[in-house]
Amino acid sequence: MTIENNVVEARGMATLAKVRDAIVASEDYEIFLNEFTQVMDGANDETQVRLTEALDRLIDATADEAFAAYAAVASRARTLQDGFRLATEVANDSESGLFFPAAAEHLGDVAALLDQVAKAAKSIEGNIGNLGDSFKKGDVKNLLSEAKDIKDTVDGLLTTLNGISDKVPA
Amino acid sequence: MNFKHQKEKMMLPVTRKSLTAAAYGLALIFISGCTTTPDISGWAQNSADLAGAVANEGKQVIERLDQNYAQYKIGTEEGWYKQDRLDKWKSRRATFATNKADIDATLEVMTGYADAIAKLAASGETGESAVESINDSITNIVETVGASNPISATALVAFKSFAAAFTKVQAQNSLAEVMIAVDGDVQSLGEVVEDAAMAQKKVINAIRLQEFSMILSRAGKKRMRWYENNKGFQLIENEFRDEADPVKAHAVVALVSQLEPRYRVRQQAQVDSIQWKKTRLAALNNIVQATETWHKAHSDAANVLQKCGGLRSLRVNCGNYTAANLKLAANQIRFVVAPEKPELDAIP
Repeated sequence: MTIENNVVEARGMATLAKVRDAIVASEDYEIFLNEFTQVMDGANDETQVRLTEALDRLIDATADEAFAAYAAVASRARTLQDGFRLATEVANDSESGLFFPAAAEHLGDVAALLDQVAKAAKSIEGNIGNLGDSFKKGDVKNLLSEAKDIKDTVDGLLTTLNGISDKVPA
Repeated sequence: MNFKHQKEKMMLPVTRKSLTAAAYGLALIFISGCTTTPDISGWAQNSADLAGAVANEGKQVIERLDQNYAQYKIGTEEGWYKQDRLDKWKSRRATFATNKADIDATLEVMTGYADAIAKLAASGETGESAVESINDSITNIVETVGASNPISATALVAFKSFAAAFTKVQAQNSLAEVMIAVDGDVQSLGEVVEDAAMAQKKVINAIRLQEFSMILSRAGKKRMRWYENNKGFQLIENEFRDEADPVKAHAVVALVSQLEPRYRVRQQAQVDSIQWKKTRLAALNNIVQATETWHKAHSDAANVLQKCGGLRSLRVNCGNYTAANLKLAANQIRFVVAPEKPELDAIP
């Protein structure tokens, strides 16, 4: 290897060092890559091989550090998932537990169910003789029990709401 | 009157019902003094946007790695790229995709939380409409059972105002509790997103270096060296001097002409690679900036709710605690707890 080739190789290596330093400092390094291209275009075969190997080493070092850093961050991210899941559950529970919206939804269900029960009762009113055929004893018991539950629910809600509305100044 | 009876007369009965009623009474003062709920829906949208931007940037990297891998594979077959380097990048791509999926999944879970608190905040504003719905249901029920509606038209107006304030208070209390509890995780996630962006910048620099190397190799280092040494105008012109060898001149010009497009492609490929890098780095800078605003907004909202949200709205420094409110609250407490015997002052 001639002195001239040694100089070219040293210049190439120094340029790669500048690239590395610029990346570490989060600065632009394109001017150094351009300089490296010029060095390569002026280097003989042997020097080109050496400089290519040095460039590969720089690439591997940069890539290994970068991908490892990304993996470490991802690992930290994973640990946060449970906290957000729990908070989501709490927020959802709180939302479904808001008194008036929840009462409105429940009362809507009660009104709809009561309406259905009333229609069902009306439809069997003129056909009471067939009741035994249409319903099993257990079904009738369940229906009566459900109706009682509905009545209790409605009574409770009406009492509560009535109590609240009485206390609100007109 | 014995002591016990006297004490019973002086002290107001404290039952679960009376305490609840007192709480309702207290809540009435928010009719004129509720703290405005922070814009949680806007924050939820920002959260979704942030998650989308992070996911997209990760996708850009994976797509670039895939494109480059296809090039490297051709290069390996053509002999200008080495198999071991191809394997390394294949492994890096797989690792990156796995880690990106974890980061995306965490952000997705976070957006679920953001949506949940936005929904909670929005539901906190539905007290009035809930009462309308309740009234409709009760009307239907009493029509069905043939009773009279217990809510008069006059009471309904006040009832709606009360329900609106009460629901807002209830939602703000819950919001404050949840947001304060999770704020540490939001701040940590903000750091994670910023650190991920910084790490991804390093990944992009690594990709850029690899593309730089690939472009040099693909163009043919020796050919480009020859072209660089012979492309000059004077050099070519010299081949056409009076005593020049026409055969040699023809050969030089033919080679230069053949290599020139390759050289231009190499130049353009570097320009494209640089542009891709710049675009990605700029996008990551935007993500870092947006993240700072994002996690600060959560913290600010949580602090507002912690200081003045819900029942904390009574605090003097929240600006809702006026003399009028105080008088109204006192009257309400008397009215609710002891409607017939307002003897609060007599309590020892």
